Formats: sequence, structure tokens, C-alpha cells
Amino acid sequence: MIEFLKVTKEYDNGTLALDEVDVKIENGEFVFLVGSSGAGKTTMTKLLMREENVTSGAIYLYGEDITKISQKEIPYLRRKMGVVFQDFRLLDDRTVFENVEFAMRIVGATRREIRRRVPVVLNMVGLNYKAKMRPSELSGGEQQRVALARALVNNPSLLIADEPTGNLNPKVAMEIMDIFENINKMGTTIIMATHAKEIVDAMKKRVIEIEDGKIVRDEVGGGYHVKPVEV
Amino acid sequence: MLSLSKFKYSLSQAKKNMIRNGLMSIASLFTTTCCLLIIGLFAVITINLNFITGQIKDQCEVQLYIAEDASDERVSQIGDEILALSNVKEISFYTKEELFEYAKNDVFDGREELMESYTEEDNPFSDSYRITLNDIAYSEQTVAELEQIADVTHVENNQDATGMVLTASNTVQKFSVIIMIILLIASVVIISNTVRLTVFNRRKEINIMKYIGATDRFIRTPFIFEGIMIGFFGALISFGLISWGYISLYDVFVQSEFSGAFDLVTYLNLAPVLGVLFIVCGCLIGIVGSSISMRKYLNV
Repeated sequence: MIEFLKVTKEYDNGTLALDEVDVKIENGEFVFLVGSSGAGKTTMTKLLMREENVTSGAIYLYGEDITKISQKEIPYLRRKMGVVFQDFRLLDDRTVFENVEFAMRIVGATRREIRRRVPVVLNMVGLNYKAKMRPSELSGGEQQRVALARALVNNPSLLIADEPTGNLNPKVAMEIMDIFENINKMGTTIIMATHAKEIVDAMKKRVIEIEDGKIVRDEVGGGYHVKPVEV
Repeated sequence: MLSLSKFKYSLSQAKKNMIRNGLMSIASLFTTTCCLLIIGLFAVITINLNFITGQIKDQCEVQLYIAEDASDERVSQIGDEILALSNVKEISFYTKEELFEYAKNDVFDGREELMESYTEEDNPFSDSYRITLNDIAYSEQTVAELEQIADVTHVENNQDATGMVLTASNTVQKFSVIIMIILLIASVVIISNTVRLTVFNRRKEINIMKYIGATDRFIRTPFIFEGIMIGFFGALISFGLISWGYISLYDVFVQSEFSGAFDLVTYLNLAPVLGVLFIVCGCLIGIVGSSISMRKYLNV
């Protein structure tokens, strides 16, 4: 379970990104974080990864207050989660297989474990047949699948995605979302910051809307509507 | 501790990175080699100066002359008194006849006319001890003690010139050590800048590694291995070049007129010292240089 308790984040330049946010996310949930640019969605994901730390408040991840962990413990925290970005963040000079393998190397997996696990994950995202290709030879959708495979390869219980479909056309974006949904069905908690209205509306998941650093809506099975829909 | 699989992975990454960033690796290698060459040059000078100084110290001798009327028994006693002094290493006795012969045949060889006015009966020399000292630094004190011995007419001390040579050599040695330290620091700075460029080129990779849970050590290790490898290869190249240069110079020295005055350290004696120095310095430059350049990019 993930719990934000009165979390406030103020950046050094004085920007108040989150203002006393309280939110609870149960294991296995699929949550969309929506809101206009600068509302605080990305800050929430950054706090979860401890790329940033809170100004005040606490964040509990599986019972541990991650705002209190030391700099040395951060890598171990990040191993509990998979991360997917809008710009894929793949290594261009390595093959698809090597990009995915890379995440397993970090946790000290053996060659045998890598040879067994990487093809399975590549198969899950439908890229087994492109294992030897380089990211530059793949389409945007395929690159995002590689990034997803890399995020999944160590079996994380939490997947954080920051605008994962931002660079993709709607058809490819929906394909990627199907993969996310399948992963979620296997029990992985997914937290996704997004602007993709069509996707949020179509998937009917829990939606947390943030505005000026505050949660203004938390609705299960809700739609996107960032600006209030007034009839 | 780094696990075996991580160690192997870091090593293979370091090799791959060196090849991928070929030009940068060559630039680092070239810089390391140049720095080590200069450090090596000063090391060779220091080691040889030390060796030559040792030889000069070994030749540290004074001559003591005994009064004409001293009996044989007294001469022998004087020998014992000299040996009792702490700075005396060894002594050898020369009769006045031996000294006369030596002067005639060796010192004034070819200019015999200068000795014509002297005969064995009119021998200007007296019985004498040649004394080898342990430490030239205390020669004046020892000479004073020798002059206190009864029946000693005078003591000849030619250490002033030797002392000057030794002082000069000590100064040069100290200067060389300072230059070597400065060069070592300069090399670390140059290498760290070169590695910093490599790291800057690979900041995206480092950033990704951080996001997927790599520890700082995991990220740093391949860069450090890379630094060690570049340092090691730089050490090998500079060792080869210095060795070649030294062997050639040594041959020239052996055939020169200086070879009679003093010896240089032979290559076989120099090589192990130089080898260890180069490898330690090379690896040190690599490790410190890489570590310094990594720091900035690990804060994600």
C-alpha cells in the first residue's frame, strides 16, 4: 500500500508543487494522475522514486516511510518499482535485449537468470522477434514496449509511468495501454501521470485530479475532465 | 563487496566503453602516457642521483700524517685510537716510503721534474693513515677528533668539494620529488577532465541507471575499471619508452669518459622500481581521475 500523509513539496525557487496532499493507493490498483501542466502530477511520481524529497509530511510505501530513507538506500527503493518515461530513455548503443538485460544486471542477476527472464518479458510486450535490434531501428511504440519490458523485468510490485503515451499516436497508445492493463491484472500496482484524455476516459480506472498542488478529485471509474464540466 | 557477476559485468562494460569511446580513450591514454613519461624521467634522475651520492659518500676519505719521531708501537696505537672513533669505517696504513713512491710514480707521472729535488733520504712525506669515514656529514667533527690524537702532525680533509656536490645533489633530489608530486596532481586533474568528458557523453546512461536502481558503486565501477585500464596501458607504454631511452643512454654513458668517475644504476636494477612506480601511478591516476569526474553525475 502507498500512502501520502499531508505531503507538501516546495521547490527551492518557491514553487509550491504539492500542498498537504493525503492519498492512499491499495496494492494492485490502477491509478491515473491527471491535471494541467505544473499541477503536481510529476512531483508525486518524483517523490515516490525519491528523486525529490518532501518539504513536510510522510510517504509510506509498503509500510516504510520513504521520506526518511538515506541516500544510499534510494537505489534499493527504486528496485521495488518499475519506471516508464515519455521519452523512453533507452540506451541507443545497445540492443533491445541488452537494454532489458541492463536492469537485471543492476540487481546482480546471473547470466542464466537473464537468459531465462528477458525473452519472457520481451514476449509479454510482443517484441521477442526484435531482441537484436537497436532502439533507433524501432518505432516509438516499440521503443516504449522495450522501456516497459525493462521496467517489468525485475518483477516490481509498483509501476510508475510518467506520460508513457505522450510521444505516441492514439492507436499505438492504446496498444501500450493494453499491455499496462494486462500487467495490472497480474497484480502490479500502476500509477500513471497522463494528459491522454481519450485513454483515461476509455479505461474507467481510478482518477486522481490535481490542481495547484491539491487533490481536487479522487474518483474510481472516472473520466479525464481536468477543467470542471459545467452544464 | 562486489559480487562476481557484477565484477565481470563491470569489467566487460569498461572494455566495451573504452572501445565505444575510442577517441576519448586514446586522448586519456596519450595524456596518462605523457604525464607518466615526465614523472618517470624525474624518477630516473632521482634514483641515479641517489646512487651517485652513495658512491661519493663511500669515497669519503681523510689523510692523517704522523710525526717523524713516533715509534712503530706508537704508530700502531694511533691506528687503534683512530678505529675507536665512531665515524671511522676503515683505515689503511702507508709508510712514508710508500707515499713517496706513489707520488713519484702515480701523482707526478710524466712530470717527474717536480720530484727531482726530493730523494728517498730527503723524503717530504711522513707515515700516514688513509681513513674512510662512515658519514661525510660529520667529517669536520671527526677531523677535529683526529687532530686531538697525540703525534698527529696534521689531517688532510678534502671534503669541502664533495660536500658541495652532495648538497647540490640533495637539492636536485628534493626538487625532483616536488616536481613529481606536482606532475602527479596535474595528471589527475587532466585525466579527471578527460574522463569528465566521457562521463558527460554518457550522462544519459548514468541517469537511466540511477532510475532503475543502480547503486553509485555499480555505476562508478566500470568507469574506475576503465580509468585503471587506461592508467595501466599508459604505464606499460611509458615504461617501454623510458626503458628504451635509458638503455640507449646507459650505453652512451658506459663509453663516455664519465664512466670512470661514477656509475649509473643498471637497467636491471632500475626496471623493477620503475615498473612498480609506473603501474601504481598509472592506476592511481585512473582511479582518482575517474572518481572525481563521476561525483557530479551521481546526484540524481
